[in-house]
Amino acid sequence: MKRANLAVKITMVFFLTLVVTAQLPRQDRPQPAQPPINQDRLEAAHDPLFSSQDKAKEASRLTQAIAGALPGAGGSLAPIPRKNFVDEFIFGKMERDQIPHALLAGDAEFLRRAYLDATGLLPTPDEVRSFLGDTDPNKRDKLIDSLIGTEAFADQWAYHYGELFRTDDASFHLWTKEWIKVDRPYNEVFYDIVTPVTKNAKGLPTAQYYDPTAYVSNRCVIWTDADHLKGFNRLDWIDEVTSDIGRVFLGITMDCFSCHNGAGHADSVNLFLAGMRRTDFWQQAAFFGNMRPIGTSIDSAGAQFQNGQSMFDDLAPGYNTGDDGNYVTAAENRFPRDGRTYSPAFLLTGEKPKPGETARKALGRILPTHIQFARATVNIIWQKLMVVGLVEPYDGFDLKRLDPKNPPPAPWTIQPSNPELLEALAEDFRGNNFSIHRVIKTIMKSNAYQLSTSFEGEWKDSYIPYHARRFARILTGPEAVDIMAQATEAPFSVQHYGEPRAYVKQLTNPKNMKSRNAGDNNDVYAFMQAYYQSERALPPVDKSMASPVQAMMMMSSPVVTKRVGAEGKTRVATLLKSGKSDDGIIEELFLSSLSRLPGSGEVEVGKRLIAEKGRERGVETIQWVLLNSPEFLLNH
Amino acid sequence: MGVGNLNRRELLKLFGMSIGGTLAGHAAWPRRISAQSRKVTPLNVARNCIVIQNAGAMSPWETLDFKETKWTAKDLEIQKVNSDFYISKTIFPSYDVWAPRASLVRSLKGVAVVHYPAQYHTQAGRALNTAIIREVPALGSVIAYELQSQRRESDTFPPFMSFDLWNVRCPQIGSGMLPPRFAGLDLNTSNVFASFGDGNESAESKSLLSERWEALGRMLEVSAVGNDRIGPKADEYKASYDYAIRLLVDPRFKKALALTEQEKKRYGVDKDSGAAKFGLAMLLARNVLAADAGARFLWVANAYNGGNGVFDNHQNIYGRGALAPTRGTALSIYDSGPRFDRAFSSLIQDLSAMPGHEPGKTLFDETLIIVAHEFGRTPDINPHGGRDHFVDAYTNMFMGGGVKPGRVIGKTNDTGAKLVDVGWKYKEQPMMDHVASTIYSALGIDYSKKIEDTPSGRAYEYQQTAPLGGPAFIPRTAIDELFT
Repeated sequence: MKRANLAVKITMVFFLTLVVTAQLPRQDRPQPAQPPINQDRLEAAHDPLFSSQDKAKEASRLTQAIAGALPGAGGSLAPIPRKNFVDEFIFGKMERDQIPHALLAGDAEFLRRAYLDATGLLPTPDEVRSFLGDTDPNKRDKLIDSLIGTEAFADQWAYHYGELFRTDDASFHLWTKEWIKVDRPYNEVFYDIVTPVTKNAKGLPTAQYYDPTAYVSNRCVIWTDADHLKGFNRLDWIDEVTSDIGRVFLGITMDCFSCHNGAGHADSVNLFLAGMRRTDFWQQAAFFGNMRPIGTSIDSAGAQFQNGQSMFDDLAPGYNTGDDGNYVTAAENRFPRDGRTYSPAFLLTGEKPKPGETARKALGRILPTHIQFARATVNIIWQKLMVVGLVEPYDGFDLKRLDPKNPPPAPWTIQPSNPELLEALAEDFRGNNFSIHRVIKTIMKSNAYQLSTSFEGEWKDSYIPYHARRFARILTGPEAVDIMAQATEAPFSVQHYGEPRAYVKQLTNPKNMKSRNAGDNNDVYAFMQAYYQSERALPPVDKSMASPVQAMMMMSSPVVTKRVGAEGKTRVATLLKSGKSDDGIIEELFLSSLSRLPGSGEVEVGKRLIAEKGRERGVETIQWVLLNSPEFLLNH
Repeated sequence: MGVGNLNRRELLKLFGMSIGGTLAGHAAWPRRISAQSRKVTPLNVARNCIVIQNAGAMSPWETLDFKETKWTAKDLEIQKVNSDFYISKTIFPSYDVWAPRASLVRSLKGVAVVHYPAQYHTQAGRALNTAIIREVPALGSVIAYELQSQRRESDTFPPFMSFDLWNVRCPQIGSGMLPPRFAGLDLNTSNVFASFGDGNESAESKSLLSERWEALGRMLEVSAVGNDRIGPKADEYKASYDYAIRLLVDPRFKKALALTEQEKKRYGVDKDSGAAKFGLAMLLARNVLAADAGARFLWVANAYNGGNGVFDNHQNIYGRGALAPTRGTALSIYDSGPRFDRAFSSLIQDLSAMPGHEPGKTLFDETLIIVAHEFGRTPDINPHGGRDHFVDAYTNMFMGGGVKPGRVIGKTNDTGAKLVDVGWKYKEQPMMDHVASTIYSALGIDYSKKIEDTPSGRAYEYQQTAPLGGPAFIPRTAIDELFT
């Protein structure tokens, strides 16, 4: 018995040793000295990390605030015609849950909104008159068809995607604008973005996608050459790129589990992220493991490093977190990695590159086939058009809370405000050649998009997820300055790549307005900054909040004051010389600024202002007043 | 009746708002802010703070931590300020105005090696974390938020104002999760006078804004602004205009913008060829403080022509003649130094002569002044005759507002390549995070506070103790050695 017991004990010790040894880190390569992770440093588990509630409530409050000043309708339970599957899902849900909704927007309200959303510009007074007078029952759909795919449309949406991609380069912007205009399949766009190979990044637009991530990595690739790679932390940069790809193309914030496992941190924030491990991130990052950026060498004459003229190839040995060759290996803006080498495996499915397939090309092939790529893409477009996304924020998807047929455990709820609609839009997108145009048209042609901002009766926050009314939003920086220039018939004249540009959206980057050769340009840039124009080194801030600085600019900036004046060829100057009556001038100003006809009370006030101040000063005052009205400053 | 003659109640009535309507929507949020330590007693020695951001990172080895090495130019005319502080009269001709009043922290450690995140760190008081970037406010926004309880009815200037922050690599980062009124008002010296006047406007042009404001009210009344259907958010939206108009018509704001040619010359504006003139920014900062109209935390960006900053001397740091960079974004130290010195010495002189809030004190006494950099520069000169980025040790300068002059915290070796003494009571090097705590403490703000009800749920500590990147843990402390 004693011998048997001893044998059991020895066996247990033996197996215990085996088990313990198996848990130890691999000892076949030297482990870099790394400080232990201090648990105190990891903050307490988050509450909902990505709350959709704040943004939606903000939009709701803003809308409610200005709705009374806007022409429109009120809340109703009367059925609205369902024009496409968007309406089926939106109104079907409202009907099921007995949620009242706004009435359809009137023609003037719809027209201004459609122009702003599609092109970032206003309809001209003649276009307003023509549309208002058109009796064609299909005129709204025809208008939408006429706006999508135009040059102005491409400028507006290249701006949106420029903010999203953080474009800082002209060639990348022009490449973006081109695929937007011709509606290139978005899966092909993604493929091109992740697979650039070049001897000179300046010659390949898609290589410029990688510049901003270099700015937020702690080091900068330009300070390297083939012999001096110590200027760069390639793995940190790969991690930034991977996080960015996740944000833009999958709607997933990977930053968190690029630094620590999700368990213990994201448990009360995001079920999907709670299950993610750093090793999952590293396997995803390993798709870029062979990617090697090398900055321009210093030549023997001592020429300066040329910014952006990096080489990209796939000759690096892989994602080896213990030894990245001549590059700086140790993590400098994340917690230390574990010293192992990781092979690529797609985060959502584990799929690996095929034998002989370049890892980045594999990523370009694999990622768009997953439905999440489509969901993330359509959600961003929905948010641009409907102000509040089906999932908010756009990079806060919780993949474990998307399916009503497979709901998460209580108290978790389904995340999208309309999960069936999200799936339908996503399937329609990828079933139709990943067409961005199609998504935009589908949404804009729906009556859900065409509801009024005005809502009669008591509005409740609980109605927000139903999109029971149109939400108003503050204009973007370029929208604000461009429509001001347009409304006053005083466009900008910025020489840019050999041509004068009339609108900021025509520039490759709004930062181009920030110039040493100031003129108007610095004023305009300061103006845009008041509307939260980003520098694009970081992901967009996406604020829709009024601020006193905006008000100061609108009231006092020369960008506005010289455009409302009667000098030169401004709209005021032209109208004063036109021979039009006071009524005619007032009507024209309302049409050009607010895209609607004035009410009788407004005409009276306008005429009194002209009578009191004299014609010139009176008309200037009316123009200034219209530009400073909430109706002008909002997209509603 | 011009709007300048309307009192606040009448102004609010004009817009159909309730008497209590202010920026009400966010006045009460965030709500859960708590101190984390009973051991923190803010020093409360300064009423105001000015941070001068020397964008691009001025090389300490020629300036605030002078080193004599094989690369050092021979014409710097080095002067002794004290046993630990030697300074070049060539670079800073008026050093004697400010150097004897200064204290230096030479052991600051940086995290980011490139300008954008490093400048972000300076402005936010913490390292960049893209996961929560949306909600992190600028240091000035937190201060503005904290000081709001001290605002008087007569205060019209925003508590946080900046000058030419638009012109640096990392411009305003905004108020993050705090309400936008704490975002700070950034004045662009290249257009501020055209936008808001230079004090020389005619009476007619001054009344134009009032006229238009009144007309706006009339038109909005007809457009049903006063309709009961408009909810409380309307107060906030229109209160933005209310806030703005009060500032625009305040005579103190007009006066702050009124600069004489003589003082512009004294501040070196005539010699400054930059897109943003540092001297103008410093003059406006002086006037804004002197106005005593509510602005308490000022940020002056010294950037010149934008880009990475005027001090980003990767080449020809000693450039002169044909080698002097003149059209780019950086100037050689022979130009950037005197440019800084002209304006800075004039500011110090003026603040020292202007009465403060308390009897017997000057504005200099009541204002903590910090000259800040995003990192340092390499001890070795590179093949282009410049210095590259260096985070192992760099220097910020402090004076005024309770700072004891002559303190030198931290010591580098003969070449600057190595830190030999941290200089304070902790083994970790101080970071910009501690500079932020120092500012909080000087202004009477408990830097151990944290905001718990953030949008993400991740608590926002006023001074982060577990920064992303850098040391695993840093002490929660101000650099008290500056004041003792």
